[in-house]
Amino acid sequence: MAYGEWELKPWHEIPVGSIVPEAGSSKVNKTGSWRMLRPVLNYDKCTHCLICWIFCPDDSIPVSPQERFETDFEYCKGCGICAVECPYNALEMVPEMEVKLKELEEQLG
Amino acid sequence: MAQKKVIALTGNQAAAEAMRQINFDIAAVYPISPQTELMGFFAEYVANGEVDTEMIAVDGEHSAMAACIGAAAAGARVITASAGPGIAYMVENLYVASGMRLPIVLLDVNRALSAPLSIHCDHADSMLTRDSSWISLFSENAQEAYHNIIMATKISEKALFPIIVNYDGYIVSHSIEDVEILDDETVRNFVGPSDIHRIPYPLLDIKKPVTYGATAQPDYYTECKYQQHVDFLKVYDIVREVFDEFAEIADVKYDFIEEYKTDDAEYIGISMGSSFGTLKDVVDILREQGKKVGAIKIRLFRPFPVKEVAEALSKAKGVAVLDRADSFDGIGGPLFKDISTAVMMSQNRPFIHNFIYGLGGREVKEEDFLKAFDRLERLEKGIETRDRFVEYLQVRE
Amino acid sequence: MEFVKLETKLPPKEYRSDLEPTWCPGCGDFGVVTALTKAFSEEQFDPTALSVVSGIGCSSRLPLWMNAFGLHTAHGRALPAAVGIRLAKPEIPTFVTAGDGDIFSIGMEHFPHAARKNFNITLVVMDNRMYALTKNQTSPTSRRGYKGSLNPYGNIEEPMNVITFAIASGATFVAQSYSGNPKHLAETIKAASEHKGFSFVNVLSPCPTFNKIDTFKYYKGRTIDINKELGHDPSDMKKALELASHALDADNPELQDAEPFKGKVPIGIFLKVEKETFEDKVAKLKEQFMAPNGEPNWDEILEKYRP
Repeated sequence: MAYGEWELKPWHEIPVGSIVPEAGSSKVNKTGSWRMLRPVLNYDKCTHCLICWIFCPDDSIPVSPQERFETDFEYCKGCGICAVECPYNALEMVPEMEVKLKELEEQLG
Repeated sequence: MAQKKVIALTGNQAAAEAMRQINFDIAAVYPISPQTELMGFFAEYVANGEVDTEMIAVDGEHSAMAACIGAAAAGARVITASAGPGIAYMVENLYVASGMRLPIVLLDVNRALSAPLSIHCDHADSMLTRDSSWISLFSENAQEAYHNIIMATKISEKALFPIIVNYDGYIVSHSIEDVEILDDETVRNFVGPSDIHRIPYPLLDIKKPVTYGATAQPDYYTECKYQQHVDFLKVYDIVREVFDEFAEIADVKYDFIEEYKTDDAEYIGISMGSSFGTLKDVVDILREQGKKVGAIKIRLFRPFPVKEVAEALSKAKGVAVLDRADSFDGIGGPLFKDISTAVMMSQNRPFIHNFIYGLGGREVKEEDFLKAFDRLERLEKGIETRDRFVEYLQVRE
Repeated sequence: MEFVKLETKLPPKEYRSDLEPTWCPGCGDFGVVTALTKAFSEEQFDPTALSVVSGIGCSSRLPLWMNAFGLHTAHGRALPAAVGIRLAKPEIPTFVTAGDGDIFSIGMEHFPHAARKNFNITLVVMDNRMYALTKNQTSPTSRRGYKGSLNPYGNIEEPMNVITFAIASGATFVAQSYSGNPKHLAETIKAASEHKGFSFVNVLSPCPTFNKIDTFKYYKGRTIDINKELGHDPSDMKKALELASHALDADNPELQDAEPFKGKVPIGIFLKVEKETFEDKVAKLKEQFMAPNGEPNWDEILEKYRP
């Protein structure tokens, strides 16, 4: 179990020629660990226009027709495109380390 | 029973005839001597509408193999041909083709590598491919080249590995000899129709889209290569099977190696390609002198017939491995190392010495091989000594 | 960097080796040898400090006939090999002599980049519009319908306009000449070798053995000098591109009366502009970053990495 839920297949179960036989295989490749900067959403500014969802290259922004939900940090690489494209400046790119440290502090009390 | 006719053909003409009969879907071509003539003959068949083949003139051998990879992944039956430096330029894509497990036929009209520039025959080009997990067959003459191409198509598609058919540049490719040609129908029935589902994951199967050549991270690469390793070992049985099937239509029973008077032989010479005829003549000459000698030809070069070679050499006292290429590694020629590894399988390990001959088209004469047998015998009996495994025949001092 | 030159002029024959060319009688490439030796003589190049590099093909045998350092490389790799010489010995003039198959087909990955980077190389392409050494196959410059041994049905591809391509790639000197016009050829090659930067001369060089269309007879009276007859100014890149775009008009029977060449094949210098060469840029970089005494200041460098 190297990458999240990606189960490593034994050699004889790999398709001949090491091909990838099904679509959506990027789903198992959780790219969130690459993130250096984290898009932090200011819900007060967000109008749910969904422009960030259109531009996100990793499809990491879950939405309903009316609402933008919190970014999916299992896949978000922190590219910052959403922050640039947001017409309301509702997203701020914060160093991941700061966020992690803050979380740790909270945990430790 | 198959209809046969004997006609006089050059090696290149015989190969073009096999290509016409198999009726490949795609042929990628780039000119290089001595291969160009072959594709020239085939181009006439294309121009006359005698085949359904789409012929693409590409911009270099690297592109030729890339075109073959694309076409084969799409599900087509493909062929290309090259020689010497052209094969060298192709090497990167050879590994791609075998890693993707695509059936492709590559005709290697053996030619020396530069520098110095030589357009003539030796096996250095083919030796570049020996670790690429391509199946490799060597042909002694035009007849064998013709047969090998037909068998190769089937072997490659059964094994899902690409295959190289080697025949010597100029010596075979441009010499005219009698070739027994099978009728078109027999050949086409033997190789079967070209359907995209001959391979497990054709790109043109739009209902089942796949990705070829994706990245494998360190957690997968080993498994991918191990699968290739295990499957390549299965090639022996597939080759044997196809050889047997072919015997039914052509009345020629091929084997991984060809033995000549080896039953009671004390000294055995081993070669590949066109020089085997000369080697057999030398065996006859020495037999007349009362010497117990024999000869072995390697037909299936990759995967290497380790067991068969070990068995054939198990009773010999001395073996002369005749390499038409040098490895420049302080050990010996490529074939020498393969043979040496093979005899590790058997209890009786004969004395082995390596001779390099016929580089860059140097003509091979009986006296050259007589010299090799003579030196081998002296070394084996301890009359002479050696300080290295490999010696050049035919060098002007 | 300036090239090594002799103080006195050597006669052109001093630049020829003892070997006699093994080309077929009547080959257009003989004219290129003569023009090159003339240019070498005029430029007072030193045969012991002069390199001629080639790839594979009939025309690529040219370095053998020259009294200069010759490098016969792999098919298509003449330009990168020459680049190696340029970087190692920038004071040695470097000529690349190759054919259309070598430069525009298998070696095409190098041509635009050598031009773009502006190495001080003179590239002379002997363009016979087919592969001759392998006995008549179509090359990227073969005209449409040309019958080679690999396509007896005639070439279905369009030929490449190499003049336009060279200009677009950023070559600083682009010219076309014809080996049946020795005076023009010698002048063009001389101008190319004088030029500082990547200079490309496409020499229309008929193959009498295989190519029965683009022959001396075909070119006779069919060339037009763009500089002398049409008054083209080589410093005008826009005009050069426009003229170059018509370079293959003569192939097309429908364009026999079309402007600007009226069915003729253009020869002459299309483009000549000055740009800094790669070698000069390398030399400048060295000057910029190397300490005056040749030793870098290690303390200063290490200081950047100290926390």
